Amino acid sequence: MAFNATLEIKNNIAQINLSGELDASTAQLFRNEVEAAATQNIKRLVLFMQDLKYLSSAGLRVLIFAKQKMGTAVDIYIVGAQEMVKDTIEHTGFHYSVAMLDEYDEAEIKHV
Amino acid sequence: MEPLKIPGNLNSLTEIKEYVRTAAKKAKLNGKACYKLVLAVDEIATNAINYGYADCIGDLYLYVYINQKSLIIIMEDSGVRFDPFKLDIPDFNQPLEERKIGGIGVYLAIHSVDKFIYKWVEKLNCNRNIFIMCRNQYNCSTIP
Repeated sequence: MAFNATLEIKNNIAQINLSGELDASTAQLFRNEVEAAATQNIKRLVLFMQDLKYLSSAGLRVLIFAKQKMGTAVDIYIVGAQEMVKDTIEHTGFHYSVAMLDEYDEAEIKHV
Repeated sequence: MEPLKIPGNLNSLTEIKEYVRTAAKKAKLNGKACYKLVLAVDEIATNAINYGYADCIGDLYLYVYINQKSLIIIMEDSGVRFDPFKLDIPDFNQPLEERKIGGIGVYLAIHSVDKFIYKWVEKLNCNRNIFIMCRNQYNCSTIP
């Protein structure tokens, strides 16, 4: 299944929609969007993963890159990760550094 | 299943994953087991492509064996000799901003399958990675 990553920035929040399979052959597309987001003055990175069917360590590396590029002041949210994708994220301890949500409610997060 | 011989570059990953999925379907692995097996083979293949064949060109060879109890996938490459078990386990308690990049893929590969075996085959000058998943005939579902 083809991979796609699309970036949208609104109110200093970068939202990246991920779909398909994220592996070493497609990770650069994700990294490109993260790099584009990092050039903007963003306070939050939200990764929508409802349509992401597969995630390998190549995708996790981009998460590391995102955190290191954007700094600790930028919170990262992962929304709607499918079961096995979530399993990989939790198995490697990434869930300690990002917020995992089933759904994204911007108004609700502002008060967290 | 026929063995798969495929160029050792990242463009081959899709075909490698589909080959493994086909094998998993034949062995009637459930969805989770199939996913984990694909992940394991993908990670080791990626490692062989990115590091084993970093300075040379080569192929990957995949073989499938299915018996009553297990599905076995063997992947061989003639890149730089590399034993996945010799890599340090990453510190998963470290915050992302302090993490080193390496080691995650190999860790996932070894821990995603029921058994993982590595051998250096001297007479063929190749790395041989063996992935074994136990079959569970009584708890299988349609593989997506």
